[in-house]
Amino acid sequence: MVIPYILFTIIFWVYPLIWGILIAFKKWNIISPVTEFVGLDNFIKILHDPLFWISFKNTLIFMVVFVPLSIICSLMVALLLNRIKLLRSFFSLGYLMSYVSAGVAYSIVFRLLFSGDGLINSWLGKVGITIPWFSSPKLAMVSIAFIVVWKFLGYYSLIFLAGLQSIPSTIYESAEIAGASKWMIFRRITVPLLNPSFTIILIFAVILSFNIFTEPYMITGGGPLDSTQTFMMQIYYQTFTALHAGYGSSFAITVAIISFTFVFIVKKTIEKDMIYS
Amino acid sequence: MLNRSQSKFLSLTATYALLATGLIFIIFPYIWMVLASLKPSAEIYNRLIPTRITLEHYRMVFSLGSTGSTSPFVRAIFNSLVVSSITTLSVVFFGAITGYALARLRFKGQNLLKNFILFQMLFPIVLFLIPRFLLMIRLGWINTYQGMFSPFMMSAWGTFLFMQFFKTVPQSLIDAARLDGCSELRIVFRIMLPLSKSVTIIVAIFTFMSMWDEFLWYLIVTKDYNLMPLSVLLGLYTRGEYSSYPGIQVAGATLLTLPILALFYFFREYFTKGITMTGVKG
Amino acid sequence: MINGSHGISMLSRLGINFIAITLGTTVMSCDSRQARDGSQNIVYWTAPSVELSRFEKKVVEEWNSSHPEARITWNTIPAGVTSEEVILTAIATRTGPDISSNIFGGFAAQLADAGVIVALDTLPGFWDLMETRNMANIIRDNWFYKGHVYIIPVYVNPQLMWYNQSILDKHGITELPRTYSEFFTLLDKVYIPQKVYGLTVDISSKWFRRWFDYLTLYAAASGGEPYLDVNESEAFFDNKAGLAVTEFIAQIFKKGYAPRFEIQDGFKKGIFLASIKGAGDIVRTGRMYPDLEYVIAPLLVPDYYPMDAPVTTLAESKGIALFNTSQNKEKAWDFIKWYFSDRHDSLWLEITNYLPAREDLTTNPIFIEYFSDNPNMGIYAAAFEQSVPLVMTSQTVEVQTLLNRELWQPIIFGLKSPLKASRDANTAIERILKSGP
Repeated sequence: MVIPYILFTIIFWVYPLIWGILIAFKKWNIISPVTEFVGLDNFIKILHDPLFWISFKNTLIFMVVFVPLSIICSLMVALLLNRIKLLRSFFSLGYLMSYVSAGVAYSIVFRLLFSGDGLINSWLGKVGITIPWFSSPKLAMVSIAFIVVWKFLGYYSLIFLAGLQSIPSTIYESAEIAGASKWMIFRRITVPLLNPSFTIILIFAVILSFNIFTEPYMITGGGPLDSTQTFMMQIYYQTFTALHAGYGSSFAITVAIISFTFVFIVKKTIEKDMIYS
Repeated sequence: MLNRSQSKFLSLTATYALLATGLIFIIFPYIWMVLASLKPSAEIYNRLIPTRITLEHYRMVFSLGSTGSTSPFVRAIFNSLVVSSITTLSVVFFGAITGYALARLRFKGQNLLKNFILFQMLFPIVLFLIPRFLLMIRLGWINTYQGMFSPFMMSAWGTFLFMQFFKTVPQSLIDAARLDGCSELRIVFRIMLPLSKSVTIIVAIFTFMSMWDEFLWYLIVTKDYNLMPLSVLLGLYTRGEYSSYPGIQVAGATLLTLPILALFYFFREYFTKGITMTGVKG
Repeated sequence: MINGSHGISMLSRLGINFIAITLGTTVMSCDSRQARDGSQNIVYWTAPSVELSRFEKKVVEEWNSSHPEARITWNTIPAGVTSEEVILTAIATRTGPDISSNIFGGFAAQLADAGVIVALDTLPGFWDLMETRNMANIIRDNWFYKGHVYIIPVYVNPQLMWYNQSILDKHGITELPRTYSEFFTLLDKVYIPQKVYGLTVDISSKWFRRWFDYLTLYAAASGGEPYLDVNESEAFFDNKAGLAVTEFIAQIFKKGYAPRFEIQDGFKKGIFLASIKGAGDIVRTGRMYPDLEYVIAPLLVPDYYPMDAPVTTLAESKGIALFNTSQNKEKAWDFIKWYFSDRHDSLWLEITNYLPAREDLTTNPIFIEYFSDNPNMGIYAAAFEQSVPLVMTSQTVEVQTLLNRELWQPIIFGLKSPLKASRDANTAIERILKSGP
């Protein structure tokens, strides 16, 4: 009964994985039948590719905005939801609505809504401000992080809410009896006990940051001034526009290694944090 | 001084007020989208409430077809349905049998396979894009349905979920079925699946949604308008042919969103359940 | 133990299921290609424009009704990705067309280097066709690549300035500006922050957009000198003309005469005084913004440009190529020869408003009446005679991507001085010209 799964995995998982690693050491333009073994040249070229570093920087900008903002907002929503009984499922479903929107659809909506002459700016214009959400090189990646927060807010809130509900109420009661302040309870009990939720959300958020493609592809095309170029955009461009399959593949492997490293660091840091608490 | 119940009432009111305010931010883009798809082009950029309701954008969407007769949007919706449904059926089918075998049968290398499935989930999709594309070229599956869905036909995540749930089914039920001469396959579909309605629905809706939403893979393997799922067709039209027709873009975005919203509405409790079970794909 | 006989029968059933699903969908998804394999069909791809499609549809129907033995299967190239990307992927995946239009010279050069398109001048009747369509000189001057002709240009697209008539009228302006300074003087009067801007400038980093702004203004400023010398691996973006254009764009943004964000159809909506446009925009504007009034004028030039010298412009051009993979080259070549005719060119002009790539636009009686009925189109036909073509290089995309990165975008956002931007672009471009494709 597991044979189909094994066959499938060999064809669509193991074989591509190995093939991908092999061509990362080759120069190949897909059209031509000839491939040329170039050793580590592709990987060396990546280190000298300004767009690799630009994409890296943009990914970090995205993470620096997205990770804290989404965690703070969703934790707040979860704490609020945890305080109410009436309409709780109404609100949690309401917040989840943004999660089910398709990437292409919400990219179209936000691009028009936040465009230089769009509705938001025409409202802001009444008080004399125009915010170049997607057309300022300083702001574009931040705006993209905002809209991804919009998408995942409800989703992360639910994970936090599940975590909050698994904390036994007796712990709170005994802490209150001991005279702990609300902030102390939050800092010393809620946060440490939410550790599994934090871990999952952080890992999701980090992986997501390395996979950003649809939003910049649809909204900014990587501009202005390459400020929204991402790793995925570069891999797509190198492989499918410029047909440098070997270079694209080595790019992909490099990115995978970087994202692994980040996930690993996140895990280690959080585990340490738990011991400390 | 406020007494205890008064202050409790106040803080509860504040809680609801905050939640409602947040909810407006979540829902506003949807409201804007639906209104924008129904208003004259000139008002899309600078008015929220339309001066008049018009269906012209939807008429355009359903009548467009520069080369052929049928609207490419109608075809694209059909393509999306085909690709998403086949994948969903396949993920549920193979996920259930593999999950069953891993949870309830005993065979050589079982633990290895279990660990391998967990291991698989660690690998980022970025590693597979290029070689899978090359594989599709080799198989001649560019611009075909199977090119779009085949890499997603079985999912480690779905299999894992089924496996976890099937562990909780009492052994007596399985033994009884075996005594009646049921084949293992029959046990999976007659006994295990009906007992695991929520897991099945969760695997199905999340698979369907992720396939409906998928963009990058379809963009890579289809360059033929006739075969494109709605997400890519809309994406390419927005960047290209209809880049200066915001009305068509928003109408298309609405069409892309509504089916999943409907799915969400009908299976809402499974969405929350699926997410709180965590491990759901991000 | 459990995987006994049950297991085997189950497996075979599963295998059958798997195959059935795959086969089922193969059959379903084959319908669009099936015709190709059996009969002698010719697959023909064209540009994804609404107007061009109206023309192609007519022509293809006409051909199909009279040539049942070699029917054309016509498709437009998806526009969200570049035509180049689609065609390259199609070649790589062997799903490409027999014939494709919408191919520019630089891309044809790339395709020719890869050996995937046919040298058309080796086919029978090529030069006869060039003579009858009056394009032999155009071909000789600009379409040879490594000793052969790989593309027959369909249209030429010279760029000119459009000015919004009602803005001009409101300020009682009757004399249009000729130089950058005159333009700025005029804008001092016309410009209203956030309401009326000066010139539409594309801020995107799409490489091909530079044909329609920087390189067009460069052609005017340099009096039609080429911007690259491919043989010598030289670029000329930091010469007098290049610097003048860069300085001009920098000033526009510095003074706020163009916004640093995109405004859809800004000129057509009447919030810009001027815009650089091609002839194809006439029909599009007429359909979407029928009330807009505008005047068409030569491009702006730098102040040093001599008063009496004619103003040059750049004419981008695209054409048809025949692919080596075609199983039916003879019929496909017949179609191409049939496609270029006086009758089709007249129809093309009328429907698309793009100028057919011919030398006799202003002299051939079949066009004279059309141009006198449509004076705006006549202006473009005349401008074509003062135009220069694109420089033919297989590195066009890289060159213009670097132009974006080193010059255009930094200038828009005020990150580099015009001098530094021009020099950086020039150095970077010369480097890749030297390193080769």
